[in-house]
Amino acid sequence: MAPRRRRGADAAQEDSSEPDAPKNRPPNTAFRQQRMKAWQCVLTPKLIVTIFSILAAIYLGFGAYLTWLAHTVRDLRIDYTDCIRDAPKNEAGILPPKYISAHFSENAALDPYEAQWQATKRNISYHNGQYTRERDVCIIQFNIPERLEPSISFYYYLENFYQNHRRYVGSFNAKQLLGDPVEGSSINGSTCDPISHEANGSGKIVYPCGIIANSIFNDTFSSPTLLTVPATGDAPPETERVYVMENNTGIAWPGLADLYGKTRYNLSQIVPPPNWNESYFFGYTPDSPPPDLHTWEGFQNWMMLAASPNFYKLYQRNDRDPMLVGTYMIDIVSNFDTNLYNGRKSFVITTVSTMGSRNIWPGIIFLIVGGICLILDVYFILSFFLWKPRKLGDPSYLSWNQPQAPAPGHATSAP
Amino acid sequence: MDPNKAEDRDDATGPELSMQRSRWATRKLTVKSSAMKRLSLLGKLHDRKASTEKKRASGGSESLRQSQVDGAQEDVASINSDSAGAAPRQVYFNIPLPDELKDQNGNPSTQYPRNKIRTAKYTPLSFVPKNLWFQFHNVANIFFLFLVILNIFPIFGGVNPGLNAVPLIFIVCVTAIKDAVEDYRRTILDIELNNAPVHRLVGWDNVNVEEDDVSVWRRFKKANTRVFGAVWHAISGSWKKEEDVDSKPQKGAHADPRLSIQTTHTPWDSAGSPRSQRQSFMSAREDIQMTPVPSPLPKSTNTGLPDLDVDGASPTHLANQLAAHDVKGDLVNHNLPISGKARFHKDAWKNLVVGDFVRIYNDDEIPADIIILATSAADGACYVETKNLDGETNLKVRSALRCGRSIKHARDCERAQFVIDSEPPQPNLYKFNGAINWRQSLPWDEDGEPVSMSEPISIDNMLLRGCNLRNTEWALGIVIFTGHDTKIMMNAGITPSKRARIARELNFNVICNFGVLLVMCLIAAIANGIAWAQTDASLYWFEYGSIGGTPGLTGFITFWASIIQFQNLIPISLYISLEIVRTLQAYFIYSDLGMYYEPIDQPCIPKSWNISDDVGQIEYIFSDKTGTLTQNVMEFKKATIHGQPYGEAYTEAQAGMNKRLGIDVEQESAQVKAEIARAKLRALAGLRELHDNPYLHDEDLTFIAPDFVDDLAGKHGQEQQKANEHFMLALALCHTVISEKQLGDKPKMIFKAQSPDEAALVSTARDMGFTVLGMHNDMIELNIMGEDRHYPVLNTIEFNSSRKRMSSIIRMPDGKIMLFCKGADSVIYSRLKKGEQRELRLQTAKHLEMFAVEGLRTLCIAQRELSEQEYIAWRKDHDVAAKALENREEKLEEVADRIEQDLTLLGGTAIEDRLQDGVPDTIALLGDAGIKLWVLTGDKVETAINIGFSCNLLNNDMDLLRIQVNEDESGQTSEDDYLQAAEQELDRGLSNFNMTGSDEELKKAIHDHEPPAATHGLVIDGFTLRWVLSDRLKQKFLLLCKQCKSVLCCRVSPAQKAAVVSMVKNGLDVMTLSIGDGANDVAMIQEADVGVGIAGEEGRQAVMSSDYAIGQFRFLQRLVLVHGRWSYRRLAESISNFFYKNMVWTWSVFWYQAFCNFDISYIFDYTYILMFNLFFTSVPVVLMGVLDQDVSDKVALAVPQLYRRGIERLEWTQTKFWAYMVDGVYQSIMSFFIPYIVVVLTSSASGNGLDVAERTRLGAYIAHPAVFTINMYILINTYRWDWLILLVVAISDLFVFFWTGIYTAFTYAGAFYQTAPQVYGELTFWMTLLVTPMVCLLPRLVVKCIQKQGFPYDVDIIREQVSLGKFDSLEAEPLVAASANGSEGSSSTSSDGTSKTKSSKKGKHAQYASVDEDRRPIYPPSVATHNTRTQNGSDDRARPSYDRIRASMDRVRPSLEQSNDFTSAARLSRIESSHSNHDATSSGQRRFNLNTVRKRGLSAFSKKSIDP
Repeated sequence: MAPRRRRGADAAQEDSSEPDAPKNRPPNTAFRQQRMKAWQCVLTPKLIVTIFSILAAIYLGFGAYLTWLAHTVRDLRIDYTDCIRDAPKNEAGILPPKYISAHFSENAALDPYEAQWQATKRNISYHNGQYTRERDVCIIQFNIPERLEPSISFYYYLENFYQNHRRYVGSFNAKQLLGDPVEGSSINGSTCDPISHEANGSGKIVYPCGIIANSIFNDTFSSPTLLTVPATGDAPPETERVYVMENNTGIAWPGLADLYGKTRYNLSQIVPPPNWNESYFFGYTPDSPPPDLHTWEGFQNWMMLAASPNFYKLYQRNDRDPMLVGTYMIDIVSNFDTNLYNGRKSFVITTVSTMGSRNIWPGIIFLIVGGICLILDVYFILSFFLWKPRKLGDPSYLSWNQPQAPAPGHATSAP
Repeated sequence: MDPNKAEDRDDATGPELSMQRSRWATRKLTVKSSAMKRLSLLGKLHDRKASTEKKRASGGSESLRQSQVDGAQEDVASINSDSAGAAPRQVYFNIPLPDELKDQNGNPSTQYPRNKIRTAKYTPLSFVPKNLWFQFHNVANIFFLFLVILNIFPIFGGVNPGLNAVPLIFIVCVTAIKDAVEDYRRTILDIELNNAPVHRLVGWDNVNVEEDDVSVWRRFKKANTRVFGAVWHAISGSWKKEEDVDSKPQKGAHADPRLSIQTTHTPWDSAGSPRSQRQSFMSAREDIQMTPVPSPLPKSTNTGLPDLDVDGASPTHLANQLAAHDVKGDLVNHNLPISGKARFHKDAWKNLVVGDFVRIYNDDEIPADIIILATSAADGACYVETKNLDGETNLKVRSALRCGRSIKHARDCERAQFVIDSEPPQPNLYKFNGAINWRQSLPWDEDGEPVSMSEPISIDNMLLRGCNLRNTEWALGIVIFTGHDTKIMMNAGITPSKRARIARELNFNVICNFGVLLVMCLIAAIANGIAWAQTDASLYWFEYGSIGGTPGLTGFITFWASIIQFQNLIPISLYISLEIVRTLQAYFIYSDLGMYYEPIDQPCIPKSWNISDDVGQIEYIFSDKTGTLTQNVMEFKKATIHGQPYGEAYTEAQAGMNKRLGIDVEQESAQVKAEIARAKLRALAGLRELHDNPYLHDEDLTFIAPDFVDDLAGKHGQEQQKANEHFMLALALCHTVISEKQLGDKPKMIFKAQSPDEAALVSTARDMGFTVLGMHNDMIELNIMGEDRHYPVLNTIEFNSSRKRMSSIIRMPDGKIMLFCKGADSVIYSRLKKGEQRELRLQTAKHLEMFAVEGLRTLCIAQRELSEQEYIAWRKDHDVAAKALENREEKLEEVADRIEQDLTLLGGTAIEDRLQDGVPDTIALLGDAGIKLWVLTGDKVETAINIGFSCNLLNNDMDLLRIQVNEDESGQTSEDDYLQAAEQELDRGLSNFNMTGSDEELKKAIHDHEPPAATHGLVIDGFTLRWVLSDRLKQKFLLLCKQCKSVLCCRVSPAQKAAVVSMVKNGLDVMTLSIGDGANDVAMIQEADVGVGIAGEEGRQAVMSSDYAIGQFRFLQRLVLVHGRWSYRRLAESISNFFYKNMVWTWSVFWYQAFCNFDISYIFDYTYILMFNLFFTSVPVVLMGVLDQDVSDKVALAVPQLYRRGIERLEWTQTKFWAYMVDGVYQSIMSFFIPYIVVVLTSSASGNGLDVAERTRLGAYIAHPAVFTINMYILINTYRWDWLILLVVAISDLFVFFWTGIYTAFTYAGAFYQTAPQVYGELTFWMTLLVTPMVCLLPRLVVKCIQKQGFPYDVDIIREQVSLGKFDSLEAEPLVAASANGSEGSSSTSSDGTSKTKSSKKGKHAQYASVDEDRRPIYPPSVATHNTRTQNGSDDRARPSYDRIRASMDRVRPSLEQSNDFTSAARLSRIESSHSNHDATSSGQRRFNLNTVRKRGLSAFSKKSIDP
C-alpha cells in the first residue's frame, strides 16, 4: 500500500510513541495491576463456626458482667410533682408509693417505699437577704434502707420537657454567655428571640438571652438531712445531721466552664430573663448582680440540652461521705410548675458504678446477642457438619453444570 | 469515453477486488443499471419513486432518487422551492444564478452548511451553559439545587447554606471538568481537520455562496476563537494561525500556491513507474506536458476501445441530442473572457464552500464531497482509499467526468461554464445521482447556437470526504457537499453522551427514595404540626410561639426543613462517589498491562470514564471484520502445484480447531513456530543458492516452503521443477498490480493492487525469483532468476464479482499465446477441460480443501494455450463487444466467457487473511461467557463466511441460514414485493425453530439470556438487511437472529451497522458492545452501549468516537470479562452499600425525631453530618468500588461463565436494592436505640455521674457505632481484603475519634465542646461501641453464612476452589507474559467447558508431554495421502504443516463424516464433471449458492472419491 502520511494528532501521537520509549506502558506494580496481596475472605463452615463461637463467648461474658454491674447500683427516685397540690399542708402525710421507685438490696432494714411529704409556705430570702419572698416548699421524708458508698449523686428528673426543639436548641448567644457585652442590635432578631429584649420597650438586653436560659428549672433542693442519726461512739447523739451535698462544684463537666464567663455588661444594659423574676425581683442591681455563669454549674448543666424530653440533671453530690441508713428529709422550694405542661419532676439519689447509674439494658442486650450467637453456632454446627454438609468448591453446584443432570463421574472429576 | 467505461474499469483488475468493488457500490449497476440510468436521465425520468430517506434504517442501495437532470429543460422552480438541506441542489459555475435562486438582495437564497465541522459536543463558548444545561437534566442534580436554595432560608433550619452548596458545586465542577477533558481531544482534532490545507481556487467568483456571508454571531464566535486561540498559543507553540487565507509559505511539498501543474514536478513520481509510458489520449490542443502517471488500467480495453465520444456514435438516442452526442464534451468555454487572476491557493478545509474548485494531491485526504472534473491521468482515472468510509484498505478507481477532462488549470476553471444538478445530500455511501449540464458550440458549427449537453454523475465520479487520494498525482474537482452534508458526516451520528445502565436505573431508585423521603417528611410535618397545637406542653409555656406562628404553618415549614435534614436519602455524595469510582475504574483499566499493546505503545484508553460497569453486562458484541478480527494483511502461505502441496504455516484457525480437539495449543504452536522458523531459514538459503534475488527480503517472505525451493532447484525431477516455474510465472503474469521500485541500499519492489490478495500473489512470485518489474509498452517486464524478460500482454480480462476470475492473454517468448486464468476454485474447476488431469484435479481439490480448513483463502490457477487463429477470431469478437454502446459489459462478459474454457489446471494458492492474534480464542472465551458475537462487515458474503469459520464463529455442525432478497436491477420491484420476499425468508428461517415471530416470543426472548445452541448461523447482506430492518419485519428478524449462534451481516453500510445494533439493543433490551477500527464503524460504536475502537495503524476515527480504545481485538476479553465484570460487580455493590449507609444514618436521625416532636433538630453535631459522607464512610465504599475483586483476573478469564451474572444483570437488582435498604433501616433502629437505651434510660451513663445524655453527646454515642457498623458492613461485603481496604476502614473508623477529639477541644464546637474526653472516658460508650455493630451486622452475617453454605452462587464455589488452590497454577503465571504473547497465557485453559472439565482436561493433557505423542494415534497419515506421495515420487519429503493438518482432519473425520458430504473436494470434482458454468451465466444477478460458500467440510474426501 502507499506510504501514508498522517496529519496532526496522529502524527503527534506517533512521535510520542517511539518504539524504544514506550511512554504509555503502564507500570507493572502490584497496585496498578490490581494484584496486591490480599486475604480472600471465604466463609467456610469452619470459619463460620469459629467466628460465632468467639462472638458468643465475648458477648455472653460481657453481658454477665454488665448485668452484675447494674445490680450493684442503689438508687431512689421520688416524684414530687404533685406535692404542692396534694401533700398535706403543714403536716407530714404518706407519700403514695407509686411516686417512688427504688433499687436496694432485698433484705434492707427500711422500706424505701415508705415516705412522707408535706407542703408548706416559707419565706425565702434572696441575694443574701436583699429581699424575701414567700414560696411553696415541699418537704419530703424518705428512707435510705442501706448504707450507700460514695459517691452519691442527686439528680432532678424532668419528664415531658422538651429541651430539644429546633428553635429551642439554638436559642442562646454563645458570645454573651462567654461574657462579651454583645450589642443589643445583634441580640435582637437573633436566635435569642423572643427572649432578647425587655418587653416594655426599654431596649435593655436580656442576660442571658434566649429561651433556654429563661426556662431554667428553678426548684431548689436542700441537702438531705438524716433524721435518725445513729449513735457513733462517744460523740453526743445528734437529733439530725445534714448530709452535705455540694451543689455548685463537681456537678458539671469541668470543661464546660470554658464556654461561660462573668459578664462584662453594665448592669444598666441588661435585665434578667422574665422567668428569673422570682429571684431577681428588682432586676440586676449592684445588690443582686447578674450571676457568674462561669462558676454556676447548675446553669451550665441546664444549658447542656438533654436529648430526650425525659432527662436527669445532676443537682448536687457528695463524693466523700457514705450515706447512712436512715430516714432523711429534704426541703424543696417549688418554683417550677410542671403541671402546666403535663410534665413531671422527681429527684433521684443514686450511687454510681463505672457504667453510671443503674441501667440493666446494656447487660441484657449483650446477653441477647451472645445467646443468639450461641444458638446460631449450634445451628451451624448441626447444619454444616451433620445435616447437609457441602463439599467445598464442589463444581456440581455451578449454575452452568445444573441443566445437564449431574452425572456422578462427571461431577467429581475435580481433584 | 463512455461513462460505462469507468464502471467497467472499476470492475476490472484482479480477482478479489472487483468483488470488493461491488461491495463498495452496492447498487451493482455494472451492466444493466448503468445503461438504464443513462436512459432514464436522458429521458427526463423524474422522481420515479420518492423513496423517503430513512437515515438509519436505509442503507445499501437507496432507490434511485432522480433529480431533474435534463439540461435543456430545467425545472428550476421545483428545485429551489426548498432549502438546501432536503431539496435537490443546483450549483452554478461561471454562470450567474437565475433569479429563482436569489433572494431580494440578489444574494443566493440557498445556504449550504459550512465545511467546518464539529464533532465535539462543546465549544469554549458554549461549554459552560451547555454543560450546565446537560448536567441539570439529571433529576438528582435538580433536587440538590433545590435543596441548596432551600438551605439559604434559615427558617428551614439549614445550618450553613454555603457549606451546603459545596457538594453540589463540587460534583458539577468535577463533571464539567471531566466532560471538558473528554471533549478536549475531539476539539483539537476538529480544529486540525478544519484547518487542514487544501488547494482551492481563489480569485474567482463562486456564485453559489454569498461572499461576505458572515453573520454577527459567527463574527462574535470568531473573535472568541481568536482569544482562545491566543490562549492555546501560549500553551503550545505549534499553533498554526487560523487565518482565512493564509498565503504564508509553509514547509512541505505543497508549500507554494501552484499556478499550474507544470510548475512543480510531482515528488510522488518515484522512479520506477513501469507503465509510465502509457499512451496519452490528451487532445492535441493541450499545451501542457503532463507528467506521466502510472495507472493499472487495462490496456486491452483501451486499445480496442478508443474514445467512444469521438467515434462511438450509435444513432439510437434522442434526436435532438444526436449531434451533440457525437461531440466530445468540454465544459470549457474558450470564448469566455477571464480575469486570469484565479489561482489554486492553499486554504483551510473549513473555508471550502459548495461550488469551489479544489485540487487534491496525492495522499491528501478529501475535504468534502467532490465531483471529479479531471485528474492527472489522461483517462481521468484516480484512485482512492476508502478506509475511513468502509474500512477497506484496497484502492478503488474513480474517474473524472468526461466533459471535464480538458480542465487542467485555474484559468480553465474560470472558463468552464456549467450547472450541476444534484440530489439532496443523503447518507448512502454507494450512490449518487446527479448530472452536469452545459452548453457547447459544435465544432463544425462554431458560430451556431451552442447545444445543451448533459452528462450523468454517479458515485464513481465522486471523491467523498474522508477518503484519501492515492497513486494519482492530482485530481481537480468541484465541491458539491460540504460539512454535515457530506456522506461521511451524514453517516456519523452525533457524539452521544453515554450513561451507564446502572446510572439510568439508579434514577428509579432515586425516585423511590424520594418517595420514602416524602413520606418521612410528611410524617414529620404532621406530627410536628400536632405537637405545636398542644397547649399543655413545655413548648407552649417556654418557647413563646412556634416558627410558623400557627401549627399548620409550622408543620409546613417543618416539611421543608425535614427534606433538608433527610436529604441524604438521595445522597449527593453517591453521585460524587460514583464519579470517583468510575474514574478510578477507568484509570485502572488504563493501567492494565494485560491490555497494553507493545508494538504501537497503546494501552487500553477509556474515553468515556463513566460506563465501565456497562462493560460488565454485555450480551451482544458487534464486531467489524477488517482490521478488527483480521489484520487486513494478506500473506501467501501455501500452494499446491502439480499435485504437490507446499508451504508451512500455522494459522489461528488451525490453532482454534486443534484446541477444540483438546490439543495443548500453546505447546503445539510454540513447537510449530520453531519448526517454521527453521524451515524459513532453509528455504531462504535454498532460494539464495538458486539465485541471489536482490528483491527478496528475508523478513518479507511469507511462503515458507523449503520443499518448493528444492523442487524449484530440480531435486525431485524435472517435471515438478517445470511445473513450479510455470506456476510462478503464471502468478507473475496474470494480475493487474502496479509495481513500484523503492530505491535504497536494498532495492525493493512494492506492489499495489486493488486487492491485497493480488499483491500477495505477485509478492510471492517475486520472492521466488519471478519479480514483476513493471509494465512497459503493454509488456510485463519480469526478472526471472536474474534474467530480464518481456511478456507482451495481449488482453487482460478483468475481475468482477460475478465472474470471480481474471485472465491475462500473454504472448510467450516462444510465440505461443497463453491465457492464464486465476479465480475461485469452483469457477476454475467448472472451466477445466473435460476428462483431463483427473488425478491432479482431485489432489489439488483435496489440498485446496485442506488449505480452506486452515482458514486460508484459496484461488486456482489455470492456463490455456490459444492458437493464433483462435485468438484473432476471439479478439475480433471482443473488440466488437467492447465498442458496443448497449449492454457492453454483458457482451464483454459473454465474450470473455467464451475464451476462458477448456483450461488446464496449474495449481492453487492459499492466502491467509491474517486474523489478529488470539481472535478465535477470544471469541470462544466470550462465547463461553454467554456473549453473542455478531460480525457486521462491509465485506462480501463469502469473505465474511470464510472469516466466520476461521474464528470459530461458524462450524460445520451449523446450518447456515441465508436470508436473502435479490435486488432487481431494473427497479421494477416495488418495496412491498421486497418486503414480502424478505418476510418469506424470515418465516422460512423461523420455521426451523418452530417460531412465528409473535410478540409473546419476543417477550420470552427478552428474558432469555441463554446463548443459543450452536446449531444455526445466519448470513444476511446489506440489501436484504434494508428490508428486514423495516418496522414490520424487524421483530421476526430479531427473533430469528436470537436463535442463531452466529450472525454475519455482510455488505452493510455504517448506518445499517448502527441500525442493527440499535435493533438488538432496543428490541431485546440488552447491553451491546460494538468494536471496530474504521470510520465506517463509528456509527455503530456510537450506537452501542459500549463502543470499542481498535487503535490500529489506520485512521483513528473509530478510536475517537469510541468509549474504549484498545490495541488488539483479543484485549476485548480482558476488558469485558475481567474489567467489565469487576466494574459492574463493584459498582453494583458500591451503590447498594451507599444507599444502605445513608439509610442507616438518615433513619437514625429520623428516629430521634420521635423524641423531639419531629421538630427537626439534629441529634448529631453538624460536623458529623458533613463528615459522615466525606470521611467517615465514603472512602471504604469508593475503595470497594475501585479495588474489590471477587475472583482475580486470571480466574475470571479461566471461568468465563462467571460473566453470565452480568448478562442477566443479577448484581444490581431492585431486590438487592431494597434488601440493602431494609437492612439499612433495621440497622438504623439498632444504631439509634441501643445508645439511646444505654444513655437515656438512666440518670447517668457516666462513671462519674456527670451528664452524657446531652443531645450531641448522645449523637456521639450513636455516630461512633454507626460509622463502625457501616464500615464493617462494607468490609464484610468486600471479597478481597488487601492491606489498603483494611487500612482505609481502620482510618475511617479512627477518623471519627480523631475528628471528635480535635474538634471538641475547641470551644468553637459549642455544645459539643469537650465531648471527646467526656465520652471516651465512659465504659458505657465502649460497651455501646462493642454491641451495636454486632447487633446491626448479625442478620447480614447470618444470611451471608447461610447463603454461602446452603445456596452458594457460582462465584462462591469458584472462590472456594481458589482457596483450595485449584487456580494456583494460573496465579503463578506472570502477567507480562500474558501481555507479550497475547491471550494464550491468560486464557489457555479456558476455551471450553467449565472450570471443572477444564481442570480435568488439563490433567489429562499433562500426560501428553509433547504434541507428537498426542498425535501418535492418528499417525501415520492415511493411505490416500501416502498414495499421493508415491505418485509424485516424493516420498522423502518432510511436510510438517501438511501432515499436521491431515492429522487433525483425520481425527475429526468420524464425527463429521455423516454430517456433511458437502465438502469442497467432493464438490469440486462434481463441478468439474458436470462442467456446468452456472456461475458464469448468472453474471447479472448476485446469487448465493451454497456451493460457493466455503463450507469447512472436514469429512473430506471419502475413500470413494480418493480411490481412483
